[in-house]
Amino acid sequence: MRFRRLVLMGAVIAVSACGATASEKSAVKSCSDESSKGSVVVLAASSMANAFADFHKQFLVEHPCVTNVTYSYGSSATLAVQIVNGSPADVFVSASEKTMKTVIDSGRSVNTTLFARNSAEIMVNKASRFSSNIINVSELTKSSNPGIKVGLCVATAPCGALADTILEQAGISRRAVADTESPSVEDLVSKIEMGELDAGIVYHSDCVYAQKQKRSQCIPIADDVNSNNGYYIAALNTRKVSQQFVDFISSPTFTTALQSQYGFLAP
Amino acid sequence: MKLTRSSSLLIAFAVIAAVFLSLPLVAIFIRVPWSDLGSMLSEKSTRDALLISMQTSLIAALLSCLFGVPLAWLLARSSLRGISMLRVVCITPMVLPPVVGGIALLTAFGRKGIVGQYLYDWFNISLPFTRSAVVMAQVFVAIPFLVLAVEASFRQSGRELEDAARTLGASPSRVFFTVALPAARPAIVAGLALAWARSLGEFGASITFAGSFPGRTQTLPMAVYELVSVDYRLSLVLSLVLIFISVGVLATMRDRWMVGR
Repeated sequence: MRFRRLVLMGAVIAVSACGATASEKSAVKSCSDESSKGSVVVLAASSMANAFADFHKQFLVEHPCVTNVTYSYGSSATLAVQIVNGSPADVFVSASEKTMKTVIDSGRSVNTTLFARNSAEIMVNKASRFSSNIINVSELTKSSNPGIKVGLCVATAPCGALADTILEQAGISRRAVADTESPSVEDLVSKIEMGELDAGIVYHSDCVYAQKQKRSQCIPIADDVNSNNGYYIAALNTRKVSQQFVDFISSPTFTTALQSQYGFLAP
Repeated sequence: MKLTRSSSLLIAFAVIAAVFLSLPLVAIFIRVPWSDLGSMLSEKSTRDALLISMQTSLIAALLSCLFGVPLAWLLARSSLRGISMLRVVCITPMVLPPVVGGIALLTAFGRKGIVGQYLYDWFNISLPFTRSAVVMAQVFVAIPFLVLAVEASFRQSGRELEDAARTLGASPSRVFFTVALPAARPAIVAGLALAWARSLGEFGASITFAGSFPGRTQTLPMAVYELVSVDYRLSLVLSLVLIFISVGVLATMRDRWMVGR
């Protein structure tokens, strides 16, 4: 027991020593307000997963009072229900104004910031036998491509609502297109990458990211039928670290990166 | 029974267990919007899910019976070496997390699956996200229940009668249909009911392998799951329907499960 405590103390000293040298080198501020120190729990729309993961380290380095950030991704609608029902999260990132509104209306948050927008695109598996036939959303129907398997997000998820807007503008019913409905855009992307689905309507940002894996390709949706979603962020409490995460995400550093590297649109 | 301190403690624990088991069901009964029940049940999405659930689970139960009874007979009667290993494999889906079953089915019968790729390339058959996939997932999780119940019955009835029939000149298939099968009838009925209940409640394997689309592959449990975040009241109504059907299944097996009444 005593030995273990000694080891632990040694480790703490070693870590803090390392911390000190590291911060001296890069001149990073240490946490000025020890009482605000803590970790942040973020519930976020799954389309933000890649960008958040890539910027995780930078955020932690710039914010020494934040000990860690844990993310839980899913459909904004599902996450909103969890928050309204008391999920102990610090920050909510929603892919639609409507779901953010349910959280604000419940009193869990008072303030929200629009920090990005995202349009839709058709994601097609490259190995699919229909890949060369797809030019726009009208080619996703069973009647134009018999045997094609297409997925959409559930209508209640923001990515599903976006797909519905587009299909409506194109005069196509959801039923004529979809073989299955995914609970979140992440799920839909992976089913297309696996080749179990030929195509699906996903966010432009997801398709840009997935395209790098070289298993799928993106087909733009014509401007006259395409639409876009707003991304909103809100702190769910008055903790300083929660606000720091919100400020970081809505800062120009992050939002310009979202546009230049991840295929999001300006808010 | 005399109430000693230890027995009253036992009773206290038993009461806690009973309340814990019944309270959630009672809660649904209390919260179900009874006044809107009729209109909610007649909604198209509800009827679609109910219809698909009924259709797929009944087919799955019958298929489980059609293939499960012979399998149970083989497991009970064969003295081959690997038979106990085969039994373990056949019963595994019963303890497997259903979502793992779904991934396993996708890996085997999906478009890129080890068998599915040939089905797709040679015969243009794509199983995932179809109603057949729903049935397959249900059979996969339900068949062990039937096999276990029926195999136990085959073992219990022993092979003496079958041997007697055989020495009297009956062919193997005649022995099976006129001697073994009638003796196992109660177990087959119970196994069928269990398999049906399991198929009806199946969620994890089917949503993974068959996806979910209203009116096509969305069963009642999938609808309940999706509605929780959208229309809680309607999900309560659908849960109530599932509870009624489950209780109905128990009632058909009352000889086995409601002993002493």
